[in-house]
Amino acid sequence: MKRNKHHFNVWILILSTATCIILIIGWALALSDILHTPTRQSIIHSPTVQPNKTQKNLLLGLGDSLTRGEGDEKGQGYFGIVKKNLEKEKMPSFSASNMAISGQKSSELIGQIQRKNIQKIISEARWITLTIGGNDLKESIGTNDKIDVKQADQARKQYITNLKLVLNTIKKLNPDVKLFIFSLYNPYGDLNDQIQSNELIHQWNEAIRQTTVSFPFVVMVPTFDLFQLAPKKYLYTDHFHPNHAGYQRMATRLMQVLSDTTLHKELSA
Amino acid sequence: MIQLSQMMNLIYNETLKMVRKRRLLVIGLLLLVLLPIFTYSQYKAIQDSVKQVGSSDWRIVLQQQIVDQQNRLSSSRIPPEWKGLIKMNIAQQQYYLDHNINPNAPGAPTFIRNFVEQTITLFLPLLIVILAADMVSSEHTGGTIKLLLTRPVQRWKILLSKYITLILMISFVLLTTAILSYLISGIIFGYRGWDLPVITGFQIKGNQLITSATHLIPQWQYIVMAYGLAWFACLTVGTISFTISVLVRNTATSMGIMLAALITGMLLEQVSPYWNAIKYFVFSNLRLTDYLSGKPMMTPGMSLTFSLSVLTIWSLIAILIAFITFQRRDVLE
Repeated sequence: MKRNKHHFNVWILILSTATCIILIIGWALALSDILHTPTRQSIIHSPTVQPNKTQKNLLLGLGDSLTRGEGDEKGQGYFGIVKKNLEKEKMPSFSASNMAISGQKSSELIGQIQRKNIQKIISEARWITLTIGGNDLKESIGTNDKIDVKQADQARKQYITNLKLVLNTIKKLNPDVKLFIFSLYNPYGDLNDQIQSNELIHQWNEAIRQTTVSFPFVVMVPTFDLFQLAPKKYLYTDHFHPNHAGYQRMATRLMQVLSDTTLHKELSA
Repeated sequence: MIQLSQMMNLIYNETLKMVRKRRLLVIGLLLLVLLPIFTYSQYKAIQDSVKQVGSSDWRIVLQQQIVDQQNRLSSSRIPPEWKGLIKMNIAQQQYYLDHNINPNAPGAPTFIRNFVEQTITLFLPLLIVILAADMVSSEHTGGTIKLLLTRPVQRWKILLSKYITLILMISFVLLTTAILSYLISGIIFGYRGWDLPVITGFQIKGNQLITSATHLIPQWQYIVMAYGLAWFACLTVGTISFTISVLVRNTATSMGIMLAALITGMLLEQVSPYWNAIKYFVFSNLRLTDYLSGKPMMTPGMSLTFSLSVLTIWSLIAILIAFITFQRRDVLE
């Protein structure tokens, strides 16, 4: 018994000493790794991303705070509601991923979809929902009381160029995808300048319509009418984003069109 | 030669005491109870994020995390310092994504790596305090100090043998932690993944993440380095705890002081991360593994060299105080 105990202690000592030496080496290695950074260029090569077609039923959200769901007191947004609806349909391997960034403008969206990984996700998506342009428009009219028509015109042209680039990029990445873009609504429809602001929104929406016509995979979902008569009822307290009721309306409208594609898939299969 | 064998005998003797006091057993049991909890919570976290994102593809999960952080950036309620941190975090995750490397590939080795990074500030130091807090004071409590000091061995040798034993036992505790976390987490995550690539060499300049010096190393090497750094942090905690056990004759007091100090260090970091002076406090510098993973620091001016210097200086002062006090102490009171 006593001999066994003696052996046990000796073993602990030997093991501890060995570990101690290894840990000192590890410490020294860590030190040299952190402090002596190699002057040569980073040796990591970016691998080429190959599209992975295993995810058959991916719903992808892109764009700005509307897709994010800002203003929804339930934190869902139209995207969350649509996602829930689609989950009920029990499609095989359904998944949804919301990559929208609040405050994003069309130029920033171009930057985002240049990212390799986003491109990979786009290539795997079956549906893409997109809200973009609200921030472009908001920025172009600025905080002045008077709307600068010239500046808004210029912003619209730039926006359309950007939108074309976005749609072309997505088409190239995934020719089979269905893309749903919400056109703009007027959050200021009950304020003084309503005729002028309505006209501006209509100009933008008309431009979006003309652009999307040449992309058969794109469906434009109008929202202007949804918020036209009772903006207070469907807008969040910031008087810019929809509230839950507003998002619910957008989601209902989107589901009407989107469910056609789910049915179609089942019939053909 | 006689000196050396005398030292070896003393160290053997101290190890014997340590084993007899069942301290290693307590630490082992603590790990056995807590590791399954940690494992499960990590498993749960992965499951939750997969469920929330709706995809088990790590690229999509990571992309979602990046987008979520980008959304946080657009909020006006976040202070600018935080924004800098978030931006760097995004840059790092984007870098992992661009190079198609999963920073959290599931597996027991990844768990070991995450575990040491998460426990280096509090849990591991606490285990060390259990070891060190009564190395000397228990001799007072048990009344054995007289027997010890009346032996024909110089006092400093006795203290030195205790200190060397402490260093060895710290190593032993880290080994036990690594082995147990490997065995336990492997049940859920699987036992493979030692040679998965990990990126190191991120540098932070001001508010920018510099990636020019990054390189890939196999995960096992990263783990050895991370545990080496954890060992150094634990050594400092052990040394200071050791000194307190020389100064204070009551084991409970000695543990209490260390606990208070460790928790203060952690709280200070959380409550006032922008208060520059806390970086000179020893227990604010325990996060050595963050320098390896390239996690940005809250307090400006902190670097590996800085933290190591602070830890070393505090340790040296502590050990000096311990030896001087022990040498001069009157045992017969």
